[in-house]
Amino acid sequence: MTSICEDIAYKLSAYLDNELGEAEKNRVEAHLENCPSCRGSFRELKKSSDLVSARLSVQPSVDFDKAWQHIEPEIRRRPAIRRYLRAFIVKPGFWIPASAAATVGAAALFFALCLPVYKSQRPVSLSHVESVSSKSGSVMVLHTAKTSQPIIWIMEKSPKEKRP
Amino acid sequence: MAAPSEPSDNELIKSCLSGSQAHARRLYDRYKNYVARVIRNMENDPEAVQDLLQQTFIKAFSGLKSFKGDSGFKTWITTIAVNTAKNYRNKKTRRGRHPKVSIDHTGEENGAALELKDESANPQKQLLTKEMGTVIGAALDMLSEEHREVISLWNEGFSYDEIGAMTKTLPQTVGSRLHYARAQLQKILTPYIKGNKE
Repeated sequence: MTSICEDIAYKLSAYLDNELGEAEKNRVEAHLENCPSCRGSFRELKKSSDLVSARLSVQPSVDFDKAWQHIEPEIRRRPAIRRYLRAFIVKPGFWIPASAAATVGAAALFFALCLPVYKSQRPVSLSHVESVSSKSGSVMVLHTAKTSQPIIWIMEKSPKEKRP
Repeated sequence: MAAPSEPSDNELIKSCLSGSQAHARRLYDRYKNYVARVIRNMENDPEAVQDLLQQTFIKAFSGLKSFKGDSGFKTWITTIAVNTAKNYRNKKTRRGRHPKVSIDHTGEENGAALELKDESANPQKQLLTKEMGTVIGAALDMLSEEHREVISLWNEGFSYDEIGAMTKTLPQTVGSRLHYARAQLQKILTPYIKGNKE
């Protein structure tokens, strides 16, 4: 086999399928006319290819009605859901209550999400003490953020301290 | 009186999308034989063919909205059928259930699926005896998935360009795969062809 024959052998399949360009096709045909070996190869390729085609073209035995019985419920179910949704959505009375419900829902969601954040960001109220002093003693009042009731200390001065 | 003209694929698809079951059935009837053949040429198990056919049509009808109509319904459903069969074969191979077919085995199991109907209508089929059909079926089973895919699609009349678009490969790759697939089949079948002659 010459190198030309090797090249042609590679092109025989595409030639058989009529997939070669005009120039290539002419080249293959010219070679086949002059080369009995390649002509023989082409004949064998065509014969086996025809047999394979015949086998591939045989119709398989399938119970098509039984297959359809499985297909139909599947395709019936999906459009039915879509049709129901579409019919419900286009009703004239749908959009006003739907919009109102959506607004209320959005507001509720906003507060639910933002309130904890707002609370956590509020400034911390610090405890503070007020005191009043007199000759006889002093009173201290403690206000805290946690307790609503103030804590009061009453401190009397000792006799020594009371002296002028 | 002139017979009413058959609705086109696109007309049937439009009608299917607005919920016509009758037109879905019509589309199914139009392509069922073709799809069954494409699947069988990818997967030889007759039970699997029926199941894969169902899967293919369910996928096609469910995804009909995504069909753009650029390449035609036949090409679109072929791609679904081929991918469905490929997924099945891959799963089967992973589970180790892929049967090793012997070329020497010419029993009725494979031959039973081979119904040579109306032989006079197709001269090609006259070449094919039941035994030879079984041998070719086994030889096809020996091909790699890629080679089996291209030879099956080419047999359904698709060009190299169309097969390339469907399998996401270049037309040159399609040609090369066909060349090697045929060479492998020829190697297996030549002794049988010569044996038949003698």
